[in-house]
Amino acid sequence: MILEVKDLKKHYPVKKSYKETKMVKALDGVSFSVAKQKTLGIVGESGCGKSTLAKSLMALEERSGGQINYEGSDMHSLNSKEFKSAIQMIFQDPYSSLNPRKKAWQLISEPLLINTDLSKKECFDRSVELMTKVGLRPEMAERYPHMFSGGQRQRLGIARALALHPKILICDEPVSALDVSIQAQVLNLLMELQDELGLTYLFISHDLHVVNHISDEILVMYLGKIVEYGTREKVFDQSLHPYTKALIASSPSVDSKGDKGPPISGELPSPLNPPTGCAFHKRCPIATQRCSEVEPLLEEKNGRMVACLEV
Amino acid sequence: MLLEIDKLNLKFKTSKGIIHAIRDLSFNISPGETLGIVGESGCGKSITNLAIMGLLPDTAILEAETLKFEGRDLLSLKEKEWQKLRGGDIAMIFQDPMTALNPCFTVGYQIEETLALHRKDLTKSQRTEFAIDLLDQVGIPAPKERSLSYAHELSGGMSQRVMIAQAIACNPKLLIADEPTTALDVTIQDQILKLLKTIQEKNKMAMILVTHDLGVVAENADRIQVMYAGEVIETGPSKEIINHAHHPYTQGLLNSLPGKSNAGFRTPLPSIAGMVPDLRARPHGCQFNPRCLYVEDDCKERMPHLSNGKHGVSCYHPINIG
Repeated sequence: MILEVKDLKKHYPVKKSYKETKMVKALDGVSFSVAKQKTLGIVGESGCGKSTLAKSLMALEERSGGQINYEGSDMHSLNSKEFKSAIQMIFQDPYSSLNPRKKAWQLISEPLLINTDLSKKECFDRSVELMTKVGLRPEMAERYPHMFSGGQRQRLGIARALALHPKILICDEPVSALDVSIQAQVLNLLMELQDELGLTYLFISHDLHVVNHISDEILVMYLGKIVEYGTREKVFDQSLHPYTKALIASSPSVDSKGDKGPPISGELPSPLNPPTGCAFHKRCPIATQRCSEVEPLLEEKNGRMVACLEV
Repeated sequence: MLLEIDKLNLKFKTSKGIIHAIRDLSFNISPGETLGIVGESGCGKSITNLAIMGLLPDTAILEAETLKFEGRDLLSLKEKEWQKLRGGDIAMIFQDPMTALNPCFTVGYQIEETLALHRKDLTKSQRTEFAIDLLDQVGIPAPKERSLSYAHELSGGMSQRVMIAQAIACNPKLLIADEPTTALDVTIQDQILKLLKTIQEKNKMAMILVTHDLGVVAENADRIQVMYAGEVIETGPSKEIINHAHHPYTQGLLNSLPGKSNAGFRTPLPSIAGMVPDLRARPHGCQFNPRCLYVEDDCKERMPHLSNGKHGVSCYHPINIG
């Protein structure tokens, strides 16, 4: 296992009044592991903790508890350089994640200048090499981000993330800002790079079809907790948790067969005031009295982990 | 016909010359039907809607042989007349509910505003009551209390419901929904699309559903119109388009979707190479020819025209025929 996460917690204090401080549990006891060269897909609605998870792994947010192990040892014990060549991230919005005042090659060589002893010339060469790898032409190196299209910018973001030869790449909604035809190009590129460079992906997306296409394992989150986690066949094709089922039913598809039944009602509850018992019980079609009282634990059922009392 | 558009052309004056954004756009909408408009960003979906709503910027030059709503010529309307039509018979829902609502007024007030302009017969207290009733219709819990909320106090899905309440306040005959669910989660998207459908059936309203998501139109539209570089390249009944697309671009879009049942796990997705053309330097002939897999010499010389009939396609070498 290249990455093991045990009981990861991230709680934010929120001041309700002068004296009272409440805790928002953005991540509450998340555990999973990813094997080398595999892809773990992470899905859930906005506010479920997907991005907090990505930020905690990248140490952009300090975790409140739990353990993150990289190749068997704690991530915290790595020094800055080791850490940066272990894990890198691609961001959602290719428009705001690139500095508009830097040229393409400067954007890509920034991590190289900071973390390696390469000269400027060598950095430039390496940037051009990376740009070719992600399908951009070498002569584009002198261009500024606004001269690129959305898909090309996302390629730049990928090249930058690859500059330090990371082993793990966190892709936070890498294709949701792109048009369908461009989306397919970027997904193909990500799959090619994975095979070529032996990368491990954590692929965060709200689009279940995209996640299902690219992931070996899928993790479904709801309000900071894992509700279902297992191989893609189990979670997507034979899902057990009512929330996973609802997510699949509500995502539009061109080959859906007529009526999909009523949509699940309601919205994600406020994390400041989470419901008692199972967090999903107020929207759940199969909830019983017990669901509002007892909190379900993540247990193995039928070859995958699921947190539901009724399955 | 509720809305008739024939040979609509839209140009923009810019510092670098004139951009021809929409070329020879023609389509009709009958009462009660849903037309889905699909295309990539920059293909002219949104600007078409703004033209129908009379909300074009000053730099736009609009020319059309016909642009009629219920037989009334929209080209000659004065701003005062537009104001009566907009929000009354034609209403619009915008993409981003968080920015489309005014943060300074309660949502109830914003719905009442529409009513005050178009329903002069109502008194102030009747308007308030009506606004609460509308919020109830769009499925907002505790509508009376919610009508006093401000936009920032509502979630994305709730704000979109308020936008819908505002749009249907005056029983429009045509509702234009411009990417109504793009900013929302799939579960909420499903709720909003179902809600629109229910309201549409109840009020016998026609709807233009603009989106880049082929799945959304496949499930919700009666007819689909695919746009590319400011032109309609294919139009027809939804099932026809999804199952037997004739235009290589439409087929390309459909193929590139992950989650089609025939796509194997981790297989490369068939993608359309290249990018949409720059409208300042349009290619000769068919606009899609530089990216097309089936391109032949005639495609580069002359522009194809949309064929007539139920399933129209603008291509010299259509695919999936017979």
